[in-house]
Amino acid sequence: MKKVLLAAFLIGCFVQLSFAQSRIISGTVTSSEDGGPLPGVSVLVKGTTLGTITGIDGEYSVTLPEGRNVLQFSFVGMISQDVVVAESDAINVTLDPDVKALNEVIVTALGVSRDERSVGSSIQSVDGDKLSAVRESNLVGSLAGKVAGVQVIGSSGAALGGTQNIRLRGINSLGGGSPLFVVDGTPIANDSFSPNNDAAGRDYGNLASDINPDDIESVSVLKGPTAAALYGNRAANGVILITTKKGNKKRGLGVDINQSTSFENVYILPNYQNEYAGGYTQDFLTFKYDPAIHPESWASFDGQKMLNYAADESWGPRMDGTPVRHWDSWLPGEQFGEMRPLVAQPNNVRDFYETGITYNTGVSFSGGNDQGNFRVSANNISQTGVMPGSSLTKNNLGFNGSQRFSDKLDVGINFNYTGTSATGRPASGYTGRNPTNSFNQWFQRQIDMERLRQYKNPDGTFRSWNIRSPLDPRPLYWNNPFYEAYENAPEDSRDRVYGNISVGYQFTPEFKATGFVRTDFYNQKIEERIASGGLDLDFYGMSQRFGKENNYELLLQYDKNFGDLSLSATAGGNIRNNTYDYMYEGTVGGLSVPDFYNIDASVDRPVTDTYKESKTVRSIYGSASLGYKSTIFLDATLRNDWSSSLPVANNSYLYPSVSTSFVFTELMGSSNFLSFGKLRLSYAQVGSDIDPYAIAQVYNVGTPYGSFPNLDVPNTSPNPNLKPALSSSYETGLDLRFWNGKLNLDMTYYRNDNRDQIMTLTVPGSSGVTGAIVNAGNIRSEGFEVSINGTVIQKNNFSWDIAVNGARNFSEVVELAEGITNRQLQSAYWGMTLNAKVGEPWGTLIGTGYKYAENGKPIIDEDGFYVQQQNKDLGTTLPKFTGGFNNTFRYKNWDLTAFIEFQAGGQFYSVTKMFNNYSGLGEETAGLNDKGNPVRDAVDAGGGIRVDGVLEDGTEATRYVDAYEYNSSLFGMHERWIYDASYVKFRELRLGYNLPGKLLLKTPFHTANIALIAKNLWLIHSNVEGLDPSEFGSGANGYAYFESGQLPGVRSFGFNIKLGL
Amino acid sequence: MKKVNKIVMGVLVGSMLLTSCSEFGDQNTDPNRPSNPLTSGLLTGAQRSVSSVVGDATSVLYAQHLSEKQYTEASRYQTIYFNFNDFYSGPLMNLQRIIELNTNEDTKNDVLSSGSNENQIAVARILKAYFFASLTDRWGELPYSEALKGELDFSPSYDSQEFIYTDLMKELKEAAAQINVETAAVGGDLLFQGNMGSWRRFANSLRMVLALRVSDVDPQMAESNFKEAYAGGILLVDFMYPYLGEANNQNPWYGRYLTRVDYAISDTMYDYMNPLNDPRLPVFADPAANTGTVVAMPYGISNAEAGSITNAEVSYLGTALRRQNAKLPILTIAQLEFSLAEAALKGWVSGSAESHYLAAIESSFRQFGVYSKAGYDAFVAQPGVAWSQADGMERIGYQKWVALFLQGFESWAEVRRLDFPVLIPAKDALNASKLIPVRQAYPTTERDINTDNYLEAVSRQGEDGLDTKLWWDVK
Repeated sequence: MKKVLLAAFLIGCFVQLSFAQSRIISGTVTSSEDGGPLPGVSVLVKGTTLGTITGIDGEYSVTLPEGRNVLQFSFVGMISQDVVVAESDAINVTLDPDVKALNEVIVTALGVSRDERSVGSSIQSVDGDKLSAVRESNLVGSLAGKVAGVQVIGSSGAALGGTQNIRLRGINSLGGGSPLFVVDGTPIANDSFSPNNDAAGRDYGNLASDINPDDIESVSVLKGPTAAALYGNRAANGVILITTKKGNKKRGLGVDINQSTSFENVYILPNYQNEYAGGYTQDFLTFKYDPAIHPESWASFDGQKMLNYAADESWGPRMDGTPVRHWDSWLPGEQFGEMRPLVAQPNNVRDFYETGITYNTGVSFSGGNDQGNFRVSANNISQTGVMPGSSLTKNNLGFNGSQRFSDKLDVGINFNYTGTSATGRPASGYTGRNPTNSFNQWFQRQIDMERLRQYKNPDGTFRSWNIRSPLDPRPLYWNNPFYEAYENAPEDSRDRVYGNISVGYQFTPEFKATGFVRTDFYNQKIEERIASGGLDLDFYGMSQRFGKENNYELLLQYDKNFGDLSLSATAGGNIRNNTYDYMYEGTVGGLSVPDFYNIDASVDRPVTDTYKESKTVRSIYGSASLGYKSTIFLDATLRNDWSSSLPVANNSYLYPSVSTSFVFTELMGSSNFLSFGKLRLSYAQVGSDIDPYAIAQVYNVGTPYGSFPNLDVPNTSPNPNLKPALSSSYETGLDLRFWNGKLNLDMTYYRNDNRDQIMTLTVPGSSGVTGAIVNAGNIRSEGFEVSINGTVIQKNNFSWDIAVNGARNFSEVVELAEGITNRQLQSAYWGMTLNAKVGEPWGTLIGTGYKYAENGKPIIDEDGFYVQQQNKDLGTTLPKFTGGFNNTFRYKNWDLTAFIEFQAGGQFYSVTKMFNNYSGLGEETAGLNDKGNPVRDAVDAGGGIRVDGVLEDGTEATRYVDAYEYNSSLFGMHERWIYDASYVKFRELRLGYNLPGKLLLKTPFHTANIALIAKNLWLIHSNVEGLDPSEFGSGANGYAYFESGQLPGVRSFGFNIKLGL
Repeated sequence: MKKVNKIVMGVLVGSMLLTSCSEFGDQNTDPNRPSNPLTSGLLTGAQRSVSSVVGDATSVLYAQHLSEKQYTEASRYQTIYFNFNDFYSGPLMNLQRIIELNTNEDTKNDVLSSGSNENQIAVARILKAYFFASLTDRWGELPYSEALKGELDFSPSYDSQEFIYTDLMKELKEAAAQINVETAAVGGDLLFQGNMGSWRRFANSLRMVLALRVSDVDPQMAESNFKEAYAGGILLVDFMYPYLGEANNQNPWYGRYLTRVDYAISDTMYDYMNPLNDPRLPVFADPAANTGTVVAMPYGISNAEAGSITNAEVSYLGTALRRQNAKLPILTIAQLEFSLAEAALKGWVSGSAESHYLAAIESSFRQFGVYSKAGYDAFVAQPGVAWSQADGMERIGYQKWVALFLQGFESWAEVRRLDFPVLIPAKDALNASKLIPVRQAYPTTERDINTDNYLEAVSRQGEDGLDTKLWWDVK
C-alpha cells in the first residue's frame, strides 16, 4: 500500500523526460524485503537530470547518454544504490530497506496515512494478519495483550459471542469510558448488550464484534486524547482506528479462502468436594409412611433413607454408598421407588456442558487496475456453544471499491453488512436462569447429571432435583438445568450496516478536497422467555433497538514542500446525527395461554417502554504539520464542537493539541547500532458532552394503578448549567531502532487530567434525590508503556521474532465535587461497593472485612467467629500492569505463533466463591482439619475448622468452629472473597504449514497454509482457583470488579486452512 | 488554485455560520418523559409506596409474627443498615413537589385539574407525616426540616425525634383543618378515592396513634394531641391498602409465595394463640401439608436447623391473607380501639378501658373475617383474654400484638413501647448484642456522603446500631 502511494507521489514529482540517446538500459527493480517488484523507483543517470521511474511491475527503461555510466536507483524508504553500467544493457537491481530513513507509514487521525517519523504521539499499529493467530471472531478480544496500554475484559467462550470490554490507559472518566471505534473513517457504535452491574441477565455481545476480522488490513490504536483530538469528544478515551483491506492492482484478481473449524470444551470450573451429598446435616432423613396422606402403595417405603431434596446446599450425609431414595425415585418412571447407593459424582457439572463447534469460513475477491480497485468479502460463522441448546450464526458481507474518473476525480465506497442471530445465549450472574450459578453456588454434589437430562415427564411437566417433598415434586429453588437451557432459550438477531461514500477532487497536486457521507445503523431484536410449567411465572419479553449515526464530512488537504520545509495541512467540517429508538414489551402476571410466547398472552397489563433519542454534534477542525529536513516535525490541531445535548449557553467548545517529533539520529553519524531514534512530545485537550435530556426537569412515568397514571419525580436532579468536560493530556516518548530494525523499542509516558467531569454525583437521598448531574472533579491517569519488537534469530531456514509489550497505569481520583470525598460507582451483591475515593486509585473496593489486632491477627469472638469491621477499604480493581508476549517461529515452511497475555494486580470480589463455600460445594468445605478429623464432624468430636485469632481482650486464641457455621459466618465477609486478578494466560497457539510451491503448481492456488490452532490453551497462572480473572466482561458492565455465576472458562482446539487463488 | 481554496473554505465556514452552530431548536427536549407534571399522577406514585410500609417483611419477623423457613438470617438480625433513600427520593419527594406546585404562584393554577390547591396540599402533608412517622420509628433522628430540598441542600442536617414528632402532630392538625370538602377533591387517590372527609379522619387517627407513641416520654404532648385528634373524628372503617388482582399492583406476600415458601407461622405466635383457641389462627396460618393441622416454625434458629425441618411439616401464611388482591392494613379500627383503651386507662377519654379493649378484639375478629357472636364471647371469656384492670397494659399489649398481625412496623413499635408481649430474641442471633433490634441503622450513604450531619446525629442519639433506644422508647 505504502509503495503505491509513494509511487503516485513520486510520479508527480520526479517524472522527467530524456532526449539525448546512446544506449537503452532496462531491467527490473525489486525489494530485498519480499522479492517483489518495486514500482515508482527513481532511476537517474548520475550527473544529469535524465531519468525515469519504474512501472507497476518494477520495470524501467532508461537512456544512457554518451559518457555516462552510473545509474542511481532511489526510493523513499530504501537505501539508494549507484550501479555502474558495464557491458550488459539489462540491469536488475535489488534495493534494501533503509530503516533509518523510513519506518512505516501509519494511519493517523482522519485516516491520513503518515510517515511514522512525523507523528508526535503514541500510535501503535497492528497488521490485520497479526491480530489473531486463531481467528478470534471479536476484534476487541484479539487486541488483548497486543497493544501496550490496552486492557481487555473478556467474557467466557461459553457466552457465545459475549461482550469484550476494552480500556485504554486505565480510567479516564468516572464511569470508565470506552474508546471510539472508527472503520475507514466511519465512527461505529460499540454498545454492549450485557446486563448492567448486578442485574443478572444474558450477554448479547458488543457491537464492535460485527466487524469481520478478515477484512481488517490494520488497526491503529490512538491512545489517549493526544492522537485523537481530531475525532471529537468521543475520543477522550482513545480511538481504535480500523483500516480495511482494499483491492490491489499489483496482484490483479485475487481470491482468498479462509476456513477454520474449532472445538470448544469447558476448561475451568471450581474444585468441588466429593464427600458429602445435599442437605443441611449429615443425618439421613427417613421416610415415615402416613396412611392419611400417602398412597397405600407407599407403605413399603416406610423407614427408607432419604435425602433433603429441598436443600440447595451440600452439607448432607457422607457419600459412602448407602442406598437411599434419590430425588428421581419419587418421580414417575421406571426409577420410581428405586434405592440407589449414595456415591460421588465428581464430573457431574462438567458433564452438563457440551462440546461446542465453530465453523468460520470466509472468502474474498479483490482486484484493481490503474483506474480503480475493489474487494468483496463474505464470511460465515456457524457456532454451537458449550451450553446445551446454544447456537449462533453470523454472516458478513463487505465491499470496498474506488474508481478514478479522471486525474482529479475519484469516488470510493465502503459497505459492510453483518447479520447475527443466536439461540440460547446463556444467562450470567446471580439468577435462576443461569445453571452455572446453581452448579457453583446452590446445588447438591451427588446429583447424577445423566438423570437430569430427561427433564420432562411423559405428561409434559418438568422434573427437577430440587423437589419440595416426596409428595410435592415442584421445584423449590431451582429448575432442572436442562429445562433452563432448552425451554428458556432466548432468541436474538441483529442486522448491521456501516460504511461510507466518498468523492475526492485533486485540485492541484498539493490540494485535495474530499466529501464523505457515512452511516452506521443496526436493528437488534431480543426475545426472552420463561417456559410455562417451571418454577417461575411464565414470561415473554421482547426488546427492539434501532441505533443510527450519520456523519457528513468535508475534508480539505494540502501538502507542499518548500525546500527543507514540508507542510501538511487539513481542514474539515462534520455534522453528526445520532438517533436511537428502543422498545420493550414484557408480559406481566404470566401467560394466558401456556407456551404462547407473545405479548398478547400477558395476563396483566404488560410492561411497555418506548424510548427515543436524538443528538447532533457539529464540528469544524483543522490541523497543520510542519517538517524540517525530515528531522523535526511540529503538529497542531484545533477543533470546535457544538453539541445539542448541552445548554445553549455552553454548547460550543474549542480544544487544541500540539505535538512535536524529533528524529535525533538524523543529526548523528550513521550507526549500525542505533539506526533510528525519535523523541516525541505532545499536549492535547479533548472536550466532552453528555447524553441528551439531562438539563431540564422532567417526570418519570411509573407503573399505573388501575386507571390512575403514575408520575414520579426522577431520582436525579437535572443541571441546566452543565458545561463540557475537558481532559488534558501530556505525553512524551522515545522510539528507537537498533541494528537496522532487528530490535525496536518504543517507550511512552503519559498523564491525562480529566477535569470538570460530567458526572452523576451520589447525593444523600434525604435531599429528595439520590443523584445530581454536575461538572466536577479530576481523574488523573498516569502511566508508562513499553513495546519491544525484535528478531532474535534470522537464518535462512529459521527465524524467531518476538513482540513484547507492557503498560503500567495508575488512575487516581484527584478530586470530586466540592466537599465530596467519595463517590460510590456501583454496588455489587451483598453490600460490596466500587468507589471513586479522593486521593486513591479509581475503583476502591469497600466492604466488610476482618478486624485486626495490633499483631496483625484477626480478632475473633469467644466462639471463634471473626469480628467484622464495616466500611473497610479492600483494595482497588484496576490492574497494575498489563501486557502480552508474542513469539513467532518460522522453520522452512512451518510457522508457529505462541501468544501469552498477562495482567498483574487488580482485585475482584467473587460471589461464586462465597456461595461455593457457604453451600458446602467447594473443596475447601470438606476434608480433614489439623487434628486429622473431618472438618465437618462435630466440634466436640474433634471436627470443626481451626480458627486462629486474637480475642477482644488481646489474648491469642485458637478455636474450632463447626464447618457449616464457619462458612455461613463468612457470608457478606467481603474481605474473605476478594481475590487478586493477576493472571498469565496462554491465549493463542498456531502451528501452520505453507504448502511448498512445487505442490501448488498442480493446483489453482498461489498459496496454501494449513494450521492447527488453539485458543485459551492454558491459564498458566491465576491466584483464584476455578475462575478465570480475564473473563469478567459479562454482567459487570465494564467495571469488572466482581463476578457472580461466572460462566466456565472454555478452551478450543481446531484447524485452519488458508488458500490464495 | 488559491481561489478554489478560498471558495471551498468560504462555503464550509459560511454554511456552518448560516445554520448557526449553537442552535438546535427543541432537539434536546425529552420526548420520553413529560415536563409538565400531573399532580394527581405524583399522588398516585406516592400512594403506591405505602405498600412498601405495609408490606414489609423484616419488621414482621422482628415482631415474631412469622418465622423464616429456610434462610433465617433476617430473623436473626443480620442486617444492620437499612436504606431510607427510596422513601425520600420516592414518595416524599413526590409529595413535596405536590405541595410546591400547589403553593407556587406561577404553577398553582396549572395543577387545579388534580383538585383544589388546599386539598392537594392537605393530603400531601398527611401522607408525608405518615411516611415520616414510619421512618422515625425505624431510625430515630432523621433529616427532616432540611430534607427534600433537592439541589438547594445536598447535606441536610438531622432533627431530633422529639422535634420530628412535635412537627408531625402539628402537620396532621393543620392538614386536617386545611381540608375543604367544599372544593374539588384530590385526583389520583387510590386510597380514599377522593373522599376528603376520610382523609381528615385518617389524619386525626394517625395523630392519636403518634400521640400515644410518645406518651411515656412526653405525656403532656401526648394527651393534648390525643384528645384533640379524637375529638376531630376518627376512622369509621379499617383503612386498608387496596391491592389489585394483577401483578403490577399485587399484595407483596402473594409475590413472596409465588415461587418460594420462605415464611411460616412463628412458634411465638402459635404458642400464644393456640392455647386460647384463637379463631384467627387458622386465618393467619394454613394447615401443614403433612399433618393437616397448624404447625409452627421455630423462630430464629440456624439455617441448618431450619433446613432440617422439611417444607411439608410447617404452616405457611394463611392463603386468604396472601391472595393477589388481599388488602393489607394501614390503620385499623382495632388499633384505634386499643389506643382508646389505653387512653381510658390513663384517664384521657371517657368510657371504660374494658369496653374499648373488647371493641378492639371484636374489630380484629371482623377484620380477619372470623367474627361470630358465640365464638367471640367464648374467646373473650377466657382468663388469659378477659379484661383485667390490674394487668390492663399487658392484656392490651398481647392482644394488640395479635391484632397487628402483618402490620410489622406498627407492631414492632408497639412491642418496643409497651414491652408486651415479652419476646425472646432469636436463639441464633447474628447481631453482636443478640438482642431484638430497637431501631435500624442509617443507610451507609449517609455515613459516607452526609458525614458531618450524620456524626452530629449519632453523637446526640447514640451509636448507629440496632440497640440504641429511640427518644420515645424510655421504658
